[in-house]
Amino acid sequence: MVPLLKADGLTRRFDGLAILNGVSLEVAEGQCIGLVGENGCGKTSLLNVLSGVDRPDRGQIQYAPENGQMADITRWPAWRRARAGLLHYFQSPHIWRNLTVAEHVLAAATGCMLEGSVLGAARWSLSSSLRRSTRAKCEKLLDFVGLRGRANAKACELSFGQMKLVGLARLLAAPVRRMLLLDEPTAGIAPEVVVRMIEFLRKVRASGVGMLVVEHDREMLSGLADAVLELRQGRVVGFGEVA
Amino acid sequence: MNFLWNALILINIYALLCLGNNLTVGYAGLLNLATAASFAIGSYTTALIMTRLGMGLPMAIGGAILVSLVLALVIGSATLRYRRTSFALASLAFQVLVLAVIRNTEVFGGTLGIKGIPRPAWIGTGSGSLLAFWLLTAVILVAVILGYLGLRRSPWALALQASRDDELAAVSVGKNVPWIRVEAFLVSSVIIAVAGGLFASYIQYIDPTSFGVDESILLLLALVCGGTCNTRGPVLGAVFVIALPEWLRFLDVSAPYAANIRSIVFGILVILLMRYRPQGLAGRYALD
Repeated sequence: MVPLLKADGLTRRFDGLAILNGVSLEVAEGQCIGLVGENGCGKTSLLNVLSGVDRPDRGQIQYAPENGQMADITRWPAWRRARAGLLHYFQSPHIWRNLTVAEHVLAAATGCMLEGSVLGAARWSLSSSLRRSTRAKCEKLLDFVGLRGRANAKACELSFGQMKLVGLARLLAAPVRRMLLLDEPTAGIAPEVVVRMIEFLRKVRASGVGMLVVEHDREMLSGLADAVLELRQGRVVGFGEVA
Repeated sequence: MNFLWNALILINIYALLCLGNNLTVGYAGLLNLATAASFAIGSYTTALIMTRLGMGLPMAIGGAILVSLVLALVIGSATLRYRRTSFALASLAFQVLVLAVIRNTEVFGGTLGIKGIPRPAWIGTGSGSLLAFWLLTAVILVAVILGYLGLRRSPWALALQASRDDELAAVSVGKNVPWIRVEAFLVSSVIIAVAGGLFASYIQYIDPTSFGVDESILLLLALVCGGTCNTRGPVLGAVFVIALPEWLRFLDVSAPYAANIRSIVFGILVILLMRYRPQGLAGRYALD
């Protein structure tokens, strides 16, 4: 299997307390690893360090961007990692309260250097084909999460579950998707949508995207993950294949 | 009649100032307390190029834009990584610094300012000159509004608003938040520099009293009253700033009193708006 993300000896301390203590792991292309453990064991902290939201005190993170070899990304800022396809889905929805549902997906769908810049804005205004193709992609994603009917609603007017779905659509709209860090993706979402979400994530994984999923729902994990990694007090205490 | 044209010209110039400020305050969500400093940079650069180098208004405004861009790039790169409160304080420090330099530097005329700034020759000096100057400001204002309408639904404008509403989420989808903010600050500085150039050429005499901290606060209040994140709000805010003291003149209130009454009215209006209509009279975004 081709390695996609590799962490080696990650340590993170807060006020002298080791939240992560020498965590090492490896995720390959198309592999999904479930991350389990009690509350406070360091699962979310690990995802934060891997996505660049937080910096490790010690250790190294390597990642293989699209058409690239493994590179040391420990010092890359979070936005650069996201542009390279290393995407973080947060536990809380983190919506943009003044933007509509459609605008959430649109903002994420156009993340590259030129399109996201003020110069790219001029190209956007002038190119109707660019606008059409991007909007079609966004509508497809909104269809998937079942929010097309609420495309023009402000995200802050939605229920908690719908906000999480907006976050998922936003994540999946990213131009480059190589590795997903999913922090309790199904929490607060209706069961019928969870089933569709698992199906969709399976398809995404089949396309070669790697995943690291924090999830308390063991049933969900068994339907998606290839292996499970257990954390306890910031250390890896177990790793096993899913039967 | 001259009185009316004077008010209409100033409304256009202040609308440009509010539209420029709208990018940093409204779209980026950063409390910019240095608008008057950027206004001063545009005005003084234009005034110096016209009076010392004898160049025309278009060239002078071009020079003002260049100087503003360079300064905005330096200041923006240094301050736009800060969080909101830190940015507000840094912008206030920049405002104080610029004013201190202007007051204490001979080339800027110190506290006496710069006199004899010419109006463009093609505008003329006759009875139609004010109409011509108003047309000039109106054409530039319309161009800026059209630019705004093109930008407002662009991915860049969405990214800017996203970084304002939740920076972490913006970063997690690949938005380089500090750079997007620097871009907004640069575009904002260009618009404000143009307004400054027009102001210097129209008033023909500038001194530090037009660019103090109180002017920055007044411009911010005008924007908050009118509303942010669209074009209607900033233009409405500019109308308030200029029209209110002019209207008070009809009530036989002298100019210094009119300015004080304007400040009182703005103060009360902002407090009421924050309570009952936080997005301003015509805005889209409620400041938090």
